[in-house]
Amino acid sequence: MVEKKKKILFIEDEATLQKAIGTFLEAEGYEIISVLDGEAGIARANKDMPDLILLDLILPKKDGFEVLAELKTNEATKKIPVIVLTNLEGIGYVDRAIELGATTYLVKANYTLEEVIQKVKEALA
Amino acid sequence: MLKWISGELNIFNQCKANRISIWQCPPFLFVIMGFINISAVLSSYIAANKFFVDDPMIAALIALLISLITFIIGYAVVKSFDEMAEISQMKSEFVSIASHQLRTPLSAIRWTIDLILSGKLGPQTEEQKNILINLQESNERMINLVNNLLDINRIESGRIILKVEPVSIVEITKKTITELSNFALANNIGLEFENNAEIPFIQGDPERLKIVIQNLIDNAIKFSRSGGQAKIKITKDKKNVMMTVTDQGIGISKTEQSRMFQKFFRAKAALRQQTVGSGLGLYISRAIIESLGGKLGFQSEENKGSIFWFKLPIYPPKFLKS
Repeated sequence: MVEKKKKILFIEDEATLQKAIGTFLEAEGYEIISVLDGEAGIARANKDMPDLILLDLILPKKDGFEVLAELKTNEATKKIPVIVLTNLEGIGYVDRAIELGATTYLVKANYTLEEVIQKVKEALA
Repeated sequence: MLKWISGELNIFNQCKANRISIWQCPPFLFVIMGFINISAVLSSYIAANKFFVDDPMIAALIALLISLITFIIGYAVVKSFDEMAEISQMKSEFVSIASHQLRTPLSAIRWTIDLILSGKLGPQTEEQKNILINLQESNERMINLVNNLLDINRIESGRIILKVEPVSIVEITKKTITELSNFALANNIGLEFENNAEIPFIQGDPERLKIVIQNLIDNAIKFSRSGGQAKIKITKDKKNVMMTVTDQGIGISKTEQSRMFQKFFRAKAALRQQTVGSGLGLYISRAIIESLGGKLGFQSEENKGSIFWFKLPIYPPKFLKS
């Protein structure tokens, strides 16, 4: 029996970052859904029910905190683990994201691609 | 001492260095105010004695007028302090916004190079790989510089420490040595690690402490001579855990030692040895250690080497061991 591909929703407005992570994860056997803004992110989360969401915080239309709050108050999506992947750094942001229900908070500038992929695998294990 | 006094008294130079006009410069306005105050008291006394002996009301009015002038100048001094504080705040905000905006494209470059080097887009020739590795190194330097600028902003606004928890200095050091081992190898520097005693946990912010340890070991490698040895040692006493990093490198001249913790300062010999560097590492490291209640210092002799050290208080539950 062929194992079903795990689905990852990547909400990120920087296309180059999407391409780098998306290509790597696809090569590792994951299905990637990429969207460029917060509103589209919420819509695709409800439609596709991914196994994991990678979420940037500074986003057009709806920012990452709004997206996180909506996902975690919606019965259908509240159990989907969310990794916040951002360059906003500061105790206030981390606390707020964790309080809203994020699983992990990663600062992009502090991680290599391999380290991010490792965190994704851990969250999906 | 005389040099210091003349420096402190040279108000024009101070105002010029701060790039503000003389009439907005608080030290200048302050001196003017003092001068007017003294002359006001003296001239009121003389005028009252000589001309208005019979009419103290006029003397009182003159004194009142002079008080009004000093009040206006006082207001200008306060206002210029406000403006300077506002400019400083705007500068911090600019650095913070610019740095955050720079981090996104820099992360994109880092991850794209990671992706290509991973081979997932197809194989590269040895030459292409080497070019990409060089690119990656340059990009890492930019990321470090941006991170340093953000750290400086945090130091200046008192937010450098993000969390305090029990931390094992030994574990952080081991990890850092592993990460820097290739860099040491490339520079032909041996790294020696010694921790004989059982080292207790200290209280700190693990990510910030890693920056300190990384800076000290990185400096020891960078400023050693090829074939040299850098020794990292962790010890403890009743109250503190102490780390020393000893190198046999170029050392620091006596005249430059007092400036080692200044922001952006780079010693002349260091510039000759390594053109790359921002002069921010030690400034940030000392601020981190002091914010955690510790001390960071060094001893150095030119052409013989340096010993950099820091100590931090042991985490209260003494039974915690690493």
